[in-house]
Amino acid sequence: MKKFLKIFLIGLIAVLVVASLLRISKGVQAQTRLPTTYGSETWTTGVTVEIGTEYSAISGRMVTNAASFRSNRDTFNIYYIFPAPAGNRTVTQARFNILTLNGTPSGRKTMTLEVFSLDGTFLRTLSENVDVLLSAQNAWEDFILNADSAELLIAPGEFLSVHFSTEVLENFEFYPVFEIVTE
Amino acid sequence: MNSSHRTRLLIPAGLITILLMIIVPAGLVFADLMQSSAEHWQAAVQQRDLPANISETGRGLHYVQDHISSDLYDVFPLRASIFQISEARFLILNDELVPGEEISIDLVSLDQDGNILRVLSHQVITSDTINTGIWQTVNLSVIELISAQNFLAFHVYADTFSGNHKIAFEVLAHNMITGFYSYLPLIFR
Repeated sequence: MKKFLKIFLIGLIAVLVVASLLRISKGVQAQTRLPTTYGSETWTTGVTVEIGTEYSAISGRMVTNAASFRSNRDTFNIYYIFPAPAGNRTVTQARFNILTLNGTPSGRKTMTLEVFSLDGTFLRTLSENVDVLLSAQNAWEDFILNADSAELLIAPGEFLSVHFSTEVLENFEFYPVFEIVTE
Repeated sequence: MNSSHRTRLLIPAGLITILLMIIVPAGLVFADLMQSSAEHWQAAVQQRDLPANISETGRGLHYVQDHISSDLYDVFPLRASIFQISEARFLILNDELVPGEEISIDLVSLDQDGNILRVLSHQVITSDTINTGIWQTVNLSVIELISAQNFLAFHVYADTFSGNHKIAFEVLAHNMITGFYSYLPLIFR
């Protein structure tokens, strides 16, 4: 009986050890095989760019949590660029909060989520236009995202930006922050 | 079997059992953590003239760094935990290498005095092998831990350096402390 118990215990331990080692090895292999172990992530920081949409335009520019959108900068388009991902990311939710707004403009001001390739080629729009002047201040509001989830994908070699567009060059500025939830 | 013979057998058996009780669960947890979602480190501060000291103070974070000097460090901010670096990549956005020139891109860990503690990976880019616009993966060992006292940095350097290479980085880091914490039984919390 004692001998049987011993053999049973040794057998049990051996099975557990082998099973555990197999699981560890499987886990490590899976980790090295997967291109990127992305999970859910919220993007809150980016870089404001007034000239050019190529990704290299953000070189040397500081990362900030609030975008700086001004209508008196001799350009009708300003971009707030999020970091380019090295793996596939899908935008599941996008919100903005206008912290400061100064001026009483005559022209329309909009914000749109857009995707570009690294060389600055426009690829697609991810959301409906937001009319800045109709949006609340100091409150979180949602971007209305495209219904087709395939259009919400940002692949390696692409990057997401918030495109600020102004109809008229005039004294107007606002500073929004963003929360872009990606999977 | 006499008692001394039995003791001689029992001691190694006991030691092996204790080792297995530590190594197997730790290995299981580590493998599980590697499959959990990781933090992405993309923003870095840039510094040169190491070793002197590492200073994040007064330096801006950047997603893409200019490289106009032959010896620069793109340093990720210090974090208050132990991190396992599971993946690392860099993206060269422009090709300004002339034939015969090369740049080295190392992933290194640094102490706060600016000493290189370990080179995690070393890669040489030449005018023939440069691949712009495509994320390039860095080869790493299975276990690459960065402590709360040390910095992780990309070291970009060359003997002769012309032009300005604009480079972006991405590192996947697993927080080992919070990861292990989630495995502790509630009674220890």
